[in-house]
Amino acid sequence: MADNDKTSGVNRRDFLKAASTVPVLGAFALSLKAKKKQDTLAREEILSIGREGAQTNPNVLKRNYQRKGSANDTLNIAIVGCGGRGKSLMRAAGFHPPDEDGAGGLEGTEKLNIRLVAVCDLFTPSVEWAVAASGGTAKVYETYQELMADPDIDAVVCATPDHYHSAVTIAAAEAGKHIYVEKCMTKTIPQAYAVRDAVKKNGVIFQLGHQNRNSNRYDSAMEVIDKGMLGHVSLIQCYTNRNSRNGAWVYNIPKEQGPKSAASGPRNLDWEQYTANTVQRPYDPNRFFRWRCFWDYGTGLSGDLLTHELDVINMVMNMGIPSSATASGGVYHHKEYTTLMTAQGEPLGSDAPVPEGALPRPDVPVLRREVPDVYQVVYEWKDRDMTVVYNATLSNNWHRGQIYLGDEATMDLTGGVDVYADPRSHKYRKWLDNGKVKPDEPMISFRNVAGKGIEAITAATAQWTVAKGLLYTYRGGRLINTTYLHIKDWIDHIRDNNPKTMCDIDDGFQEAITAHMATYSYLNGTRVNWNEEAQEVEFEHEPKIPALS
Amino acid sequence: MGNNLDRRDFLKAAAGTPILGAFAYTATRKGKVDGSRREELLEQAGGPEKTHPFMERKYKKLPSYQGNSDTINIGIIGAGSRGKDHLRALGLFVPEELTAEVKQELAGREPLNVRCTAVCDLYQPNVEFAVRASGGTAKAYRTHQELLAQSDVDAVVVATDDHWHAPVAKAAAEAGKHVYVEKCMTQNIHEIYDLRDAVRKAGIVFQLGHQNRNSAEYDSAMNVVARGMLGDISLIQCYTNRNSNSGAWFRDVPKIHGPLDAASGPRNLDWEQYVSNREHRPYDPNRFFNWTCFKDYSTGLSGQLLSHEMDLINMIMELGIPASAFASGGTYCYKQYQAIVDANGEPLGTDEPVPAGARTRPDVPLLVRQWPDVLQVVYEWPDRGLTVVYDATLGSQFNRDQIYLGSEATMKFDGGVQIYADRRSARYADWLASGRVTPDRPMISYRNLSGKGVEALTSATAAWSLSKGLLYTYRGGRRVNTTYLHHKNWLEHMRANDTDTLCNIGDGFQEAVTAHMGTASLLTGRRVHWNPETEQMTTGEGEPLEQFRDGWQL
Amino acid sequence: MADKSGLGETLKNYSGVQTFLIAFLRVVIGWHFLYEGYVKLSSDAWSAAGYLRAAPGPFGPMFESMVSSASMVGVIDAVMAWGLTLVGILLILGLFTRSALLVAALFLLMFYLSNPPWVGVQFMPGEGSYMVVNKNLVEMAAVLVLLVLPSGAMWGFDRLFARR
Repeated sequence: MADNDKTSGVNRRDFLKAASTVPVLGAFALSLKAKKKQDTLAREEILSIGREGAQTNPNVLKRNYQRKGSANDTLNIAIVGCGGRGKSLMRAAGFHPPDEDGAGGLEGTEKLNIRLVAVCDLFTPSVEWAVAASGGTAKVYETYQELMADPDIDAVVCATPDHYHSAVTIAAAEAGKHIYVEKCMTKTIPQAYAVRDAVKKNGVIFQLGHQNRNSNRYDSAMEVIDKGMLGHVSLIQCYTNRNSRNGAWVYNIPKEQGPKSAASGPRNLDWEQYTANTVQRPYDPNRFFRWRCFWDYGTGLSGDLLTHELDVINMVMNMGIPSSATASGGVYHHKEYTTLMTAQGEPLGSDAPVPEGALPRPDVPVLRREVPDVYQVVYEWKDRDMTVVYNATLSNNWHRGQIYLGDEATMDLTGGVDVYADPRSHKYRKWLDNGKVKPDEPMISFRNVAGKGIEAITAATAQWTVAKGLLYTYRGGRLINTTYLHIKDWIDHIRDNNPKTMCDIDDGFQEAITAHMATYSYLNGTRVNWNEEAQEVEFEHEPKIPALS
Repeated sequence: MGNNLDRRDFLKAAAGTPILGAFAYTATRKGKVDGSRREELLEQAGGPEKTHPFMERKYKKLPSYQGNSDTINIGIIGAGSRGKDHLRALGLFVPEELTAEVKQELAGREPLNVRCTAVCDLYQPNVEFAVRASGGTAKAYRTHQELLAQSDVDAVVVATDDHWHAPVAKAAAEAGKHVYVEKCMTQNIHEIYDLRDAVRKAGIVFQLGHQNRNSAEYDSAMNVVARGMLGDISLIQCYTNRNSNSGAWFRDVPKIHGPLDAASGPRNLDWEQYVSNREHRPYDPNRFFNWTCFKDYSTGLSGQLLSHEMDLINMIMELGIPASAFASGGTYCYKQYQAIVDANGEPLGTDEPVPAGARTRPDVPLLVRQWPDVLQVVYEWPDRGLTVVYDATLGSQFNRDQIYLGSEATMKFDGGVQIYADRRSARYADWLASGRVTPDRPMISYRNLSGKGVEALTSATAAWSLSKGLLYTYRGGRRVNTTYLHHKNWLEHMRANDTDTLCNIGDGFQEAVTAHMGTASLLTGRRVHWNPETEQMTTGEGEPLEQFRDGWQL
Repeated sequence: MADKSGLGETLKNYSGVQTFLIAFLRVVIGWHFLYEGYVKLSSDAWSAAGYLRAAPGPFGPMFESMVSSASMVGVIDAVMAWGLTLVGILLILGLFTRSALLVAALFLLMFYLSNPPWVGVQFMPGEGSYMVVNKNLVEMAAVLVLLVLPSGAMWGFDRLFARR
C-alpha cells in the first residue's frame, strides 16, 4: 500500500471507501419513492371509488355544533337519581367527593362552569355521595317535586330507574328547567308522547343520554353512508355481547339496606316513594338495587341495551321509527340468583368466586328475573327497503359489532370502521377482478389513531398493526370521555338556547317508540306496526297485555 | 504437537454438535408440551369423550346389508337443474359431460349399481337430457302417475318444484316406491301430515335431500356439542349470504319454450299439468322457470335456504320442532326483473353484463317477485334455554358464518370448526388469565386436512397456516360429492330394508314444520307456536291459526 | 489487538470478498431498520401499543405495563420510529457503527422478548415456523457478529475517524 504517501492519495482512497455505501441511501430513497407512488395511487384510487354520492345526513351538522354564546355565567344543576349511572354522569360533569378519583378522559377539556346545587335520591348513601361531590353545598330534597320548586336550579339531570324518567322529565319541563335524562326516555308508549309535548310546550333544552353518539367512529360511518359506498343497504345487524351477572344487571347489593318504614335495621331507602307509581309490593332489595330485571321498573333489553344500538343506527342512517317490529326471546340463562355472603357474613359480589362456606344472604331473597336475557328484535323500514336485526344474549361475550350489509359493500363497526367490497359488487367489479380489492380484507378502514384523530387506511399491514391495538378513543389527539362530551353538548345548547341537541326530543321520541314497539311485540306475540301518518302504534293482533303501565 | 493439537482441533470442530442434542431435546419437549396441552384442553373443555346420538346413526352398521350386487331401478321425476345433479350423483352422465376429471372422480366412488329406467318432466329438453344420461335405458312418461304405475321402477328421486314434492312423494309411497325428495319436503302445512302418514303406512325407505348431513366437518361439531365444550348454548345464528340475480332466483329462461297447447311457436312444456293443482293462470314462463319467486309453487326463503341451516342445526343440537317462530321480512332488493336479449335477439343471462343495444325480451314478461328476499326468523326452545336466529338478505354476499354462542365458548363454522373460549368463561378462566388461551384466537380448531380427515389442532400457528388455504374438503383423503353420499345412504337402507336413513321422514317432518312455522309467522304477523301434543301450529293463546293472507295456503 | 500496526493492518487480514460481504451484511440490516423506522414515522396508523399489549410470554406483563398510559405510548412510539430510522441510516453509512449496532442489538432483543417463540408460549403467529430461534434472534446474532468486526471502517465513514 502507499504507506509513504500519507497525504492526499490515501485520504482520497480512504474517503472513497468511507463513502462507498452512500449510494445505498440513494437506492433506498428511489425504492421508497417508487413504492410510495404505487401505494398512494392504489389508495387514492380506492378512496375515490363510489364517492360520487351527494347526500348529506342532517345529523352531521349536529355533530359539528360549536357554541356561540359565552360560558361565563355559572349554571346550577341538580341530580335526580344518583345511583350507579347518576354517579358516572356527575363524575363526567366534574363532580366527585374529594377522596375519590374523577372520571377518566377529562384531561385538557373545557370546564363546563356548572355547579351542583341540589340532589334527590331514594337511597341515603347516594344522597350523601352527591352532597360530598358538590363540595358539601348541595341541597337535599326528599322528593323530585320539591326539588323542581327550587328556583335556583337551572337544569336537571335525571338518572332514576326507567319508571321515573317521564315523571321527572315532565315535572322539570313544566318547572322550566332544562333536562338531561338517561335512556330509555320513557317506560311506556303513552309517556313518550307526554314527554315530547311537555318538552316542546315549555321550550326547555332536552338531551337524551345516548352519549355513544359522540364517538367519532360514526363520523366515518356517516361519510361512508352519505357517499353511497355501500350501495343499497338491505340489512343491518347489531348485537349485545355480555357474559356476567353484573352485565345481566344482577348487581351487588350493599351490606346496609332497608326501607325507612321498617321496624328495625338500617332504614336508608324510601321504598314507598319508589313504588308509588307502579305495582305496590312488600320491600324486596332485588327490586330496588337490581330493578333492571323487573318489568315494574325497567324496560328490559329493549330500553337498556338495544336503544344504544338503534339510536346510533338511527343517527347514521337517519331513518326514524320503523314500520314494524317483531321480537322474541326468553329468560334462558340468568333465571334466578341466590345472593351470597362469606362465612363471616361479608356480602359477596355477584361475579366474585364463591369461597368455601359461603351462605345465602338472609336479607336478600332469591332473585327471579322477569325480563329476557336472550332477546332478538327485527325492525323493518318498508319505505327504505331495509331491515335492522338486534341479537342479544347475556351469556356469551363473543364480540359482534354492528354490520351494515349493502349490495356493493359491507361496513363493519366491530373494531373501527371497516368497509369490505361485496364479492358480487358491480361498482367495485374492476378492483375485485384485478385483485386490488379482496372481499375478505377491508377495502378501506377508518381507525382512531393516537394523537391523530380518525384516518383512512388501505394497506393490509397497517391494518393489522392498527387492528391489534389499539387505539384509544381519541378526539383531536386526546382521549375524551363521551359522557362529558354529551353533557357539554347539552350545556352548550342551554347557553345558546338552542333545542337541537345531539340527542334531542325528536330523537328521544323515536328512541322510545322504537324500543317499546319491540317490548310490546315480545309480550304480545304480535307484530307491532307504526302508522307514520297517524303517528300511532298499531298492533297487528289485539294485544292481550295492554300498554305497560 | 500432533496428538495435542488434534484433540483440541477436534474439540473445536465438534463444538456445535451438542446444539443438535439441545435441538432434539427442545423439539421433544415442545411436542410433549403441545401434546399435553392439547389433551388437557380437550379434557377440561368437555370431560370424557361422548358419542353424539346422530353419530351412531351416521356410522351404524346395517346388519342386513348384503352389498350392492342387485341393481336398483330408479325413476327421475323432475329433471331440471337439481334433477340433473341427482343423475350425476347417481353416476349417470350424458357423454359430453364425461370428462377425464369426471371419470377419475367416478373411478374413486363405490358404484351404486343403479339403473335409471324412467323419467318424467314437464319440459321436453329435460326429458331428453335424462334419457341420454341414463344411457338410453330410461323411458319417458308424461305424468308421474304413469311412471309410478311401472313395475320396473323400484325407487324415485323427486326434484320437481316445491308444489309437486308432496303430491308426487305421497303417490310414490302409495305405489310402494322408495322416495328421495328434495327439500323443502312439502310446499304447505297440511301436506306434511299427509306425506308422513303415507310414508309410514307404506313402510318405504324415505330420504329428504339435505345432503349436508354427510359433511365430515359436522362430526367435529357434534363431538364438541356432545362433550358440552361450549357450556350453556343460548343463541345460535345462521345466515344466507347471496347477492346476484341467479342467487335471488332470477334465472335464465331458455330461448325456446312454450306450452303444449299454444297455437304456434315452440310447444315444449306441459303448462296445464304444471298448474293443475294450483290456481289456473295463463302461461307465464317466469312462473315455470322462475317458480321459486312465487307463492303458488315455492316455499320462499324458509323452505329453500333456511331449511338447509335449520336442518343442520337440528342434526347437531337434536332440537326437534321449536316451541315458537317469529318472522319478519320484505322484498327489498330483487323486486323485479325484465329478461333481455342482445341486439341479435340472443337471450342474455340474468347476471351477464348488459351490452349496448340490448332490449326487452318479447317472450318473457316482467318477473315480479312474491316471496321476500330479506327474511329473519327467530325460533325459541324455552325448555333448552335456546334461541336460533336465521338472518338472510339476498342483497349482500358478505360472509357470515354459522355460530354457536355458549356461556363458556363460541363455535364457528368457517369451512372447518373453530372453538373460541369466552372472555368471561368460568371454565377457561385460569387459561385465559395465564394467556395460554386468548379469546380472539381459536382454542381448538378442526380442519379437514387433505388425506388426513378431521384433525383437532390447538396450535394457533398451525390453524393459521391452514386457514390460509392449504386445504380441501376431503374425506378419507378423497374429495367427495355429498349428494352421492346421500344417495348411497338411501340405497344401502333400501337394500338393508331399514327406514332409518340419514334424513328420514321424522327429520323431514321436523324440517317442513320448522320452515313453514317461519312462513306462517311472516304471513300472519304473529308469533306462531307449536303444540307437540296435538302436533298443530297455534297462536300464543293456543288457538288455531287463521287462514293466511297473500295466497299461501294452510 | 492490532493497535500498533493500526487499522490498516487489521483490514489487510480480510480478503476483498470478506470485506464486501461484511459491509453488505451491515448495509442490508441497516436497510431493514431504516424501512421499519420509516414506515412507523410516516404511517398515521402505527403505534407500538397494540403489539406490546398483546405481548405473550413471561415478559408480556412488563411490555404491557410500558403502554399503560397514553403519554408513555407516545414516548415509546417516538423512540421506536426515530430509533429504527437513525440506526438504519448509521448502519448504511457505516457511521458510529458500534453504537448503532449496540442499539440495534438492544432493539432486536426487545422484539425477541416481546414475542418469544419458546416452548409453552402461545406466541403471535407470523410467517415461518419457529422454536426458540426466530428471525429476530438470527438478526441479533448477525448484529453481534458485526459488533466485533470493524465493519464501519471497511466501507463506511468510521474509516475517517479511525486512529491510524
